[in-house]
Amino acid sequence: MNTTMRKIVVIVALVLFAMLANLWGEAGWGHVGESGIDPALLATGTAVGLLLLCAWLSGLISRRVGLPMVTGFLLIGIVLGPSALGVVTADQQRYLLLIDKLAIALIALTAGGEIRLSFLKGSLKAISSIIGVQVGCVLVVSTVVFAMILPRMGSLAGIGTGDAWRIGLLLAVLACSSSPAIAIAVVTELRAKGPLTQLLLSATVCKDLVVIILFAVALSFSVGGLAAGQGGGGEHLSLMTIIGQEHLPLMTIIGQHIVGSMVAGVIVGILITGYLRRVRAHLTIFLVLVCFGIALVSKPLHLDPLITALIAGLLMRNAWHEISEDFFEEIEDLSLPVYCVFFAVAGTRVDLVALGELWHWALIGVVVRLSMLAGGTMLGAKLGGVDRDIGRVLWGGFVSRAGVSIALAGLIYDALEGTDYATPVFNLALGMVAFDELLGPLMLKRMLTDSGETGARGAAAHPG
Amino acid sequence: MDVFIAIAVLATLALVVTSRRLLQIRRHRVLAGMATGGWFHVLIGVAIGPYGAHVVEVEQIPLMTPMVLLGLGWIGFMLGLQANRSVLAALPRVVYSGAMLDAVVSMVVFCGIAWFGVRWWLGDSATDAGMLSAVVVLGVVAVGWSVETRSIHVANTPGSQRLALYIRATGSLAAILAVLLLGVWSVVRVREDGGATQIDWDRSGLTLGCSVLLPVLVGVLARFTLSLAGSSRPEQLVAFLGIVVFAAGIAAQLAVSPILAAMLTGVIVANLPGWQTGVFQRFIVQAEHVVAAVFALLAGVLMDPILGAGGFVLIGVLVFARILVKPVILRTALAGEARGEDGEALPRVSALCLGPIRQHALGPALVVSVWLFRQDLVMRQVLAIAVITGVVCEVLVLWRGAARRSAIAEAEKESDGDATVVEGGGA
Repeated sequence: MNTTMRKIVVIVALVLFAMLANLWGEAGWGHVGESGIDPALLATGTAVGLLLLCAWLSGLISRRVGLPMVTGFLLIGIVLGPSALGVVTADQQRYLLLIDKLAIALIALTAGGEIRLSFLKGSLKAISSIIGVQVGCVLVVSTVVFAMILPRMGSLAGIGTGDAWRIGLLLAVLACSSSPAIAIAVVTELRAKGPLTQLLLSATVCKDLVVIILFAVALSFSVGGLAAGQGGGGEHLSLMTIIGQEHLPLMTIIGQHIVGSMVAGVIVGILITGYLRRVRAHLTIFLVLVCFGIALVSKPLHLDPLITALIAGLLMRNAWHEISEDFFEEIEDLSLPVYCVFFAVAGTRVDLVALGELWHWALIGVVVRLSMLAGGTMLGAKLGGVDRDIGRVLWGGFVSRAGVSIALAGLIYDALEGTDYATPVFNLALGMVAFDELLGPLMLKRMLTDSGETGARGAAAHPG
Repeated sequence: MDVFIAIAVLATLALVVTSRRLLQIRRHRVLAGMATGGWFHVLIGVAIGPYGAHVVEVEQIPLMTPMVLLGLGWIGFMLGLQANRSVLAALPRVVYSGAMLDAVVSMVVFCGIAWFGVRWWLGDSATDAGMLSAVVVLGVVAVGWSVETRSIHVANTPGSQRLALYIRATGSLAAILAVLLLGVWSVVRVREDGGATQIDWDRSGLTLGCSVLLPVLVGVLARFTLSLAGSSRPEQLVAFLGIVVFAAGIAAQLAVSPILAAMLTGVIVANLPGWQTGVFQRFIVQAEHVVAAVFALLAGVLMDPILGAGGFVLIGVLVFARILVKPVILRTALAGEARGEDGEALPRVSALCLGPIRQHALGPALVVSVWLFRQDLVMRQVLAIAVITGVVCEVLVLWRGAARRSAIAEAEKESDGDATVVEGGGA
């Protein structure tokens, strides 16, 4: 039996085991009936183990056939998720929140560690030009296209013109987002290093900040103006509610949110370095604790965990490079298990049924987004004075969308909840994200491989 | 308080109590004994729990189930990997007979005491099934003894070194037997039938079948999976974590003891041909202290020390029984091993001989594993009984060891003084 076959056999056996265990529990033969413990909670242990092993094995298969490992993680998540085999149920997803919290901070720390301040300083013009033109193109064209599409979708046939534009704007901001997580995961997997990789990571991370602000503005603008007859939960929900400070003006909140997160990042960076200088023991557990701590502290203090961890990573890599070397090695070791579960969980959230109903509309949105990404990035790169070869291919790195986009889609759903628009708009948003989720890593891998920047950090640690 | 904050608090404390700086207290023999048994950590757990600062509440612990399962799987897998054929073959016969003797006698004596003690203590306040669980758990916790010997190792002669080695090996083997016994008990399903508690033989048989079949299948699957990880450290970590959580998680769903399932999986992985377990032992060793500390902290949070006079009487009887029975078990087991290859006999009067009175550090983790699936007050009180019994036994033995050490030091000082007088007289 060759190794690929062996991996498939192991995946099938693991899935069968998990299905049998679920059936056993449903039949009331397990502990559940005796202890009163939530069956979903009890089954979460199995789900974590299953996602970890199956995602890793499918990632290996994926790599074997020339695809990025992330694609394998996502695909197995879709297969195991509630809309396909249902081995991982919707109830279990809420107990997997811990992994999300851990992963977002870990990914941002990695991203921060990848950015060199000297490079950022030198490329500021290029990065701002790329982001500005790209976001502008996607935002304007997508808003127009969505405003035209929405009234033609069966379930949204009665939508007014104003509402179509407002919701179109929200979907367009969502289309502007890219996934720093997938970018980091593919770069880590391929051990890519070079000017293209640096530019991509810096731009993706910076763009994330821009999109967060843009989304905030768009949400408060759109939700407030929804048609009177459609006033559900939406009228109660604005950016201020999301961030948690309803009494402050928008710009103050944004400033506080972003600047506060940056200051928190500096403090976290100093604390980590202090630990590395004085204690330096149990680095893996310390790292988990740091990620977890960032996620926990961010919520009550209204900070963005992504920005906080990013600044901490950036500071450590650039200010205390030598002392933080072991810490970043530990991050690299821990990345694979965390990515496996994080992306597989993201895959489980893809609703195949909704995708089946709306796939043609979603496809239109995806095509428009792709063409605007390509055009906008090329134009922005040209205006920013980026090398022509890099500028031509760079757009492929912005296609991916995953966790953050799904979370933003969830916020749109919350904003529209109680209206007739909520479910179809959410499904459309999720459908587009699903396409990009699968397409993005492929394009990114292709781009990095063609650029010749892969394998720079010693591929021996990740044997194929 | 948010369950995530509770997890962060537990993990931070586990990190602090296992930091190098705090581990330095182990240089002191008595403190080393208390720290290795995890008793300090249990006290910290009490301090942050519902009887202390309320930082972590009992209601939050079920929400940590996946993490607790990971910890139980970790401990079980660690025990299982030790049961390698070559290691087992190298153990002297006396270790097997000692561990078996201890398991049988401890189960009979301590279950017997618990049977009467728990009934007298709880009266009608607990169900039959609850009482039966309490009895079995107290019996299982009594099996084995602490494998830490440094704190009571007084004379460093070849004979006493051999005795310390026997104590450690027998204690470790007995711990495996304790997990096995608790696992067998966990498959027993009872049902209330017309007010009477009866064993549901069909379900028990089915669960027993699962207990045997599951580790075999997962073990073989694990062997396949681990071989796919190659030499990449991140992939080895994924394979290791995945198998541990999966084995423990499936076991929990099937109502099989997670620690037993993980242990048997470890046994199978360790004994399949052509596989070196060194890589995984490295992962285990790296976090061994932290995992143990987390369980000790959890035990501290969970235990309910409001036992009433009856509970404390039961503790007294259990301590007394350990003092009476355990040294006798050790002496009986080693009766045929009076003289070693070096020609030196095992010491008959030594602080080491009191070592078996001390409880195994695995005890609190075993009770936590039972509580996870039987979340009642009785099990939290049983946990308190197990912990307090362990602390009292530990303190008694360490105090006796310290007394013995100072007696020897005194005697040596006197003999030195006599020699000086004789030498002075001679001059």
